[in-house]
Amino acid sequence: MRNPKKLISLLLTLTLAVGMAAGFSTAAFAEGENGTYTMFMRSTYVDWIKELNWYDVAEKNTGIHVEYVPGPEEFSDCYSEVDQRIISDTLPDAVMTKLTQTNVYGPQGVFADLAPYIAKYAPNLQAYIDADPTYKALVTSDNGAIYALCKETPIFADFIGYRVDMFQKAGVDASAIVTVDDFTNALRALKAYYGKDNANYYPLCGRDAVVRFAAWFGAASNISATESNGIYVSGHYKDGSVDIMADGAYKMAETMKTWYDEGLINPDWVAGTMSEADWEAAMLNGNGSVFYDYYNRAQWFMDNGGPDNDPDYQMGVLNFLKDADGNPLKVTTSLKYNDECCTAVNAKCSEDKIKTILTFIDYFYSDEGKVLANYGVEGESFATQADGSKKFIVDYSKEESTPAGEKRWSFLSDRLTVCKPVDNTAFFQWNSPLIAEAAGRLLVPENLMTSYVLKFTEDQSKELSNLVAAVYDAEMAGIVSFVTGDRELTADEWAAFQGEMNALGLSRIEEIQLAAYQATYGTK
Amino acid sequence: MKRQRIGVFNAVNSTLLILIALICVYPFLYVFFVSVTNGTFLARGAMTFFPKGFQMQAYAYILNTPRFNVGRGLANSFLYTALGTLVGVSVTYISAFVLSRKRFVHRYWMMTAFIITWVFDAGIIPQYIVYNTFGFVDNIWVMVIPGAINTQFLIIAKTFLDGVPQELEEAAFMDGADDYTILFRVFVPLSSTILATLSVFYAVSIWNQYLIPQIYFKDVNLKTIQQVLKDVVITDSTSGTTFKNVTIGGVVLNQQNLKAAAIFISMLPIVCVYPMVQKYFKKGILIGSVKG
Amino acid sequence: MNRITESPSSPPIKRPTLPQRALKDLSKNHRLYLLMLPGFLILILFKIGPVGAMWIAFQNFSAAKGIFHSDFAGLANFTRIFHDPYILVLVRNTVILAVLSVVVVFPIPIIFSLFLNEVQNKKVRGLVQSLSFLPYFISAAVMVSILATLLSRSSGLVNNLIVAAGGKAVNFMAKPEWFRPLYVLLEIWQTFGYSAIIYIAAITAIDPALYEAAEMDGANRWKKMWHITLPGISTSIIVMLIISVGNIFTVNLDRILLMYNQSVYSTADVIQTYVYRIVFQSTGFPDYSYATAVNVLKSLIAFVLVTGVNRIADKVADARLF
Repeated sequence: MRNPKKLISLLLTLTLAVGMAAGFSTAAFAEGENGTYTMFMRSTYVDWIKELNWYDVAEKNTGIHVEYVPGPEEFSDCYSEVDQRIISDTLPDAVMTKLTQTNVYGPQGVFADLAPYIAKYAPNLQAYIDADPTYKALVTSDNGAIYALCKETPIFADFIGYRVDMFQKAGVDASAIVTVDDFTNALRALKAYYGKDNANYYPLCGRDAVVRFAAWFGAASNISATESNGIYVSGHYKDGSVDIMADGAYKMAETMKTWYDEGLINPDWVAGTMSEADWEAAMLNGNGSVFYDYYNRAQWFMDNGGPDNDPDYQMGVLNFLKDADGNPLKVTTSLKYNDECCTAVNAKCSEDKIKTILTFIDYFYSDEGKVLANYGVEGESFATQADGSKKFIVDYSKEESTPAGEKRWSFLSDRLTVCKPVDNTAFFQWNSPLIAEAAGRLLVPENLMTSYVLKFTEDQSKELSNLVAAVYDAEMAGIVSFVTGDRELTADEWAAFQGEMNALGLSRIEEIQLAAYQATYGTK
Repeated sequence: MKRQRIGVFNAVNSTLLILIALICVYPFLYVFFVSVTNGTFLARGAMTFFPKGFQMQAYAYILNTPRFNVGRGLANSFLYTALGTLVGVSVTYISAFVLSRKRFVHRYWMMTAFIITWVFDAGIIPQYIVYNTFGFVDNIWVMVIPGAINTQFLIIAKTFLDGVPQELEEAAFMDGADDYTILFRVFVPLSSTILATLSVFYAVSIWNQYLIPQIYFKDVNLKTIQQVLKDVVITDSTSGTTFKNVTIGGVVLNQQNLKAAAIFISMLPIVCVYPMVQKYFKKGILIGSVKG
Repeated sequence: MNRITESPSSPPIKRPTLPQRALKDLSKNHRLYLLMLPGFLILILFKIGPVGAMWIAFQNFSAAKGIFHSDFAGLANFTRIFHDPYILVLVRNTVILAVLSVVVVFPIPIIFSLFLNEVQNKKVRGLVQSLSFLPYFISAAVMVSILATLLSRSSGLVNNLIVAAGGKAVNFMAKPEWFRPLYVLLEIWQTFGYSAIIYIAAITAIDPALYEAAEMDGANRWKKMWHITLPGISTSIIVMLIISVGNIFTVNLDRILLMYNQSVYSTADVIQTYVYRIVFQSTGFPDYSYATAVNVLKSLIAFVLVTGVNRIADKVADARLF
């Protein structure tokens, strides 16, 4: 072969040239009669939107079509991709992103200021913003601009799921459990009954982090205009909420230690080595009877193997606990507004395009749109009762069992980034009878703590990231070491622990949070 | 006497090594076992070492669901791997050849540059900034060109070529050969082992590559098999959507089944290719004393 | 007076100028340059380029402004690292894992290849080599899951044996003192077969005549191993050592994240997991400048180490890399 290297280098040069010349693929898509726009969204959300019957009706009614650009599955990857698209200037008309990003990129000119356009083209949305000062404060920047619209989500709390049949067999009266002490005693009775034959039986089980009972002792993170207690940032409103400075926190550690010492709580869970699969296996095998987890998990066990293993298998949901005086122990809730799931608009969009986008979003804030997105179509998915209330006429289980990728009626409002108001009643009604009943019973205002989203400046964000990354894990590890007995639980040791956390940055975190609250919501 | 002693050593040595080999193959088998166990047993944690309730429905589900274009994913992965390995091995070997020639005055600073750029791990965003400038987004060449020289593999190739005795090159020069002839007629035939080694390393690294496709491939038709099978199980902790078991042909499949089947499908091809390369590891190729 | 010392008849030697030398080099070695061209392009475009983009460590990088317009932040990101009260713990954990990766993990493939070479049966040798390579393909998720099943406190094989022998079951995955051994164990399991390929290839390059000669001198297998095989692959060992040191601060982040829980965090939290939490989780405005600054520091240290080993290799074994 003569001069093969020349051939090879020629090939490679050609290759490089071809590579650089190759452009992006441009897909042709459907056009809406009143307009079309592209939107970057997490792939899972895109798949779910494509399955919705009511969404098609919305596009038909507005005549607007949204062409979704699917992003990665993981949220963190989605946000990274937004950054990458900004760098490569391939941002679609709209994106799903998080508030911290729009707060920084908005003023830098990447995202459009929607405030004047909302006033002009989206009357329903404007009314919604004006009606809720919290939302207004959240999405409006210092100079009055609105760079992103946060989505509203249903307000969740965790439920205490329990094996109705196991309680009955052990002679434990579920309805008599009112206080935390009652709860502990119930666990004792269960342990006595089932533990004697089964060394792997621990009544209370769960997955991942074990420190989730702080609210039962009045020791959940909280914030107000005057004080900030505990870590109160994204991811710590509902789960991971604990204020170790509160008196109740010590009581919490004591109680959990009692559970641990008496074998009432799964030790692997306390140690942090119980994965979701382990927890599910324990509940399905009868190695556990109670958990405190996501609201619809009780039903999940019924649908995914529970009754197969044991024909008597029955799940239920306990009432929330009360304190010694009979007052409800308010539980931590998810945020009403999710700052990690916002819609922002590309600043390069023409006014016409922005009008299209806002018109589509505005539709969901209209009365017609609200009913459509939360209940569906009258006569097809719901019917109005004599007293004016709405009731679903399609079966929840059947609809949600439709294979992935096929159309269905579904009203799981937590799954989307379609900006729309949430009808909590509808959302919880759209569930199995077990969960719908529990939700109706338990999710009333007197049981729930309100959560507030805080807006941080870039510097605050930076400082907080460092501190939270260190302090939160240290808090959790510290509490767990008290519970397992690795560290002796005395008043002095606990005080020392608190001091260590402050030194690591807890007090500074609280300072920053308070400042952010006051900046977002005022000092009253 | 000597023969007996050798026999004992050999027996013990071979047994130990076979044991180690079995421990190494176990994870691979484990994945397969999980994928063929009945989901009900998996959910209860009842599977320990061997499958229970054998079923192949997990594979049927993945291969029959149009959502997962397994054929496309495998085809893409094969294409990138074949192309990337060809380009990578060629460019790396040839560059290592040049860098090992003592008459190439630039070899020290170039090698230093390669080493510095290898040790200084740039991170995803700096890399993205540069690659984007070259139009590598949604472009299959992103799997082939930037990775064509993996510095660690370059080092290994160069070390090998350093070890080839000077005399061979000098003799070829005296016969009137030029650089190209020396490379292709003298060195390449001697290098079956190193070329095989490089091929294996590059093929494995490209096949297993997940960050580059994830960041740079937005078009669904370009996705590798790992990307295609990544969302075989959609569990979304943020909305509490836990994967509901799928029942196919009366068999319950839970997420562990499907994940394991997906992993197995994406591992199988490359694992099958490797043993075929082994025969290129030839013994005693170089004549004369060689240092390393 | 100077005239006496001057040499009477030699003309002043004219040294060729730089352009002249360059031209001579080019004309003599133009084929080498051409051969090197693709590699050179890749070096400049795809290796030096991204490293240059690490400049964002000295900026307050914003994707909107891009690398050329983001604000200059000097050493602010770096001082932020050192002001972190938590940094000492992280550095300790990172360094210990790094040292273990070289001291414990590195020798195993060498020993394995030496003993594999002693196996007479070709088929067995080939089989063992192929199978030893398999764990490299297995993802961290699968390996950790297998490990967790084996070590499970309630049903794992290891604890079953311990209890049968009269001991008390231990939750290994929750003990900080077990994290490092388990991490290293998985590292060895996953990589020894892959690394051994180099040594096995090097062993095949050793002249069989050397072994025959040693055999005739009455050397047993241990003497052969020590005096022929090991020196025969010594260059490979040194080169792999340099590569190992270059990778010293690379951890398998997936594996650590999977093995990480509150109980082990005192030993498991390393710089890489910490930066991951900062950049990708919670209150994040993803701070790429900060993550890059940490990378720069890590790389700087690794580079100093690599240069050191390279120098030692040069002095001790005349085997410098660069």
